[in-house]
Amino acid sequence: MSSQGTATSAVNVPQLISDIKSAVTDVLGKDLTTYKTYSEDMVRGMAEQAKSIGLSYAAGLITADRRDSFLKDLANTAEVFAKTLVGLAMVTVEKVWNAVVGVLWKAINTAINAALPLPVFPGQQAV
Amino acid sequence: MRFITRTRTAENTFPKRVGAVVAAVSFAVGLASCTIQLAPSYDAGIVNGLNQANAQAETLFVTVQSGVTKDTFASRQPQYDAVIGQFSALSVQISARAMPQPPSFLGGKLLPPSDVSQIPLLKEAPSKGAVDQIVKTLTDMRNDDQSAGSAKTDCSSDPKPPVCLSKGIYELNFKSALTYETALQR
Repeated sequence: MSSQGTATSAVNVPQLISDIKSAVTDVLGKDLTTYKTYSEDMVRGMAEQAKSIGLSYAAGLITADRRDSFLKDLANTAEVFAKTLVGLAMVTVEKVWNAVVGVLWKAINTAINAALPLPVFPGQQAV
Repeated sequence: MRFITRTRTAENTFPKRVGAVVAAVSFAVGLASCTIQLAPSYDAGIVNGLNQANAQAETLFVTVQSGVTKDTFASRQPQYDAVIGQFSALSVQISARAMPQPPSFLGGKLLPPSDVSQIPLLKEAPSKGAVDQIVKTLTDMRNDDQSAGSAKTDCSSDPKPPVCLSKGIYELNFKSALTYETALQR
């Protein structure tokens, strides 16, 4: 630090830990509630749809071709569900990374009175 | 005005103050421009479009659930075409939006060849698949209506006629599309 002559204050580690925890908790608390609600609704809905397709076919309300078409639709819906969960997780990873790095780099930049750029996420270019 | 007054009364501090302001602005700009992005940007136009198309689709479901015959299909065809067209346009809009490349730990060279099939998972927004399924579902429902109409139903109990099964698939995929698109507002 002294060799650069730019340090103006030390990083307050307990405060930094508290700030990071707060940032991460804010992101995860909100997002996990969204995921839980979405996931439960989808699982229940897909299970009910499977039951309805079977009973409707057994009752003669749909043909075998239409049954197969609805089952294909249900499979596609399950795929969309899985991909949506992954997509939502990516949004959360993005928010957690930006929140943590933002807090860390703000503390570092304040301590050394600099404006260092944020690090690049592994395997990605900064935008 | 406040800044000018200070430069007149404390001229020696002016360079330091300017330096501090420049540093603060640089830091703020740096923060804003260097954050990473792993998912597409939020697009209010897509979310609004989804909600408008959903209102049209739900209106159509109500119409068909009230009991319709194939003889009157021609009067409903414009409704089908409008809502299918709107969802198709949304699919194109979602496709056209820039999609960040997947990070290396989820795709590309870090995955073994056996997992290559997982790479396309994040190359398009999952809402695109949901909207495409909605277009297929509404198109199939239009064909059912055109060929046989639909008996009156409230879709509350099994067994269900085709329109209710279409509605079930539609609503699941709409939920997926809206949940994801809304989550992009961060």
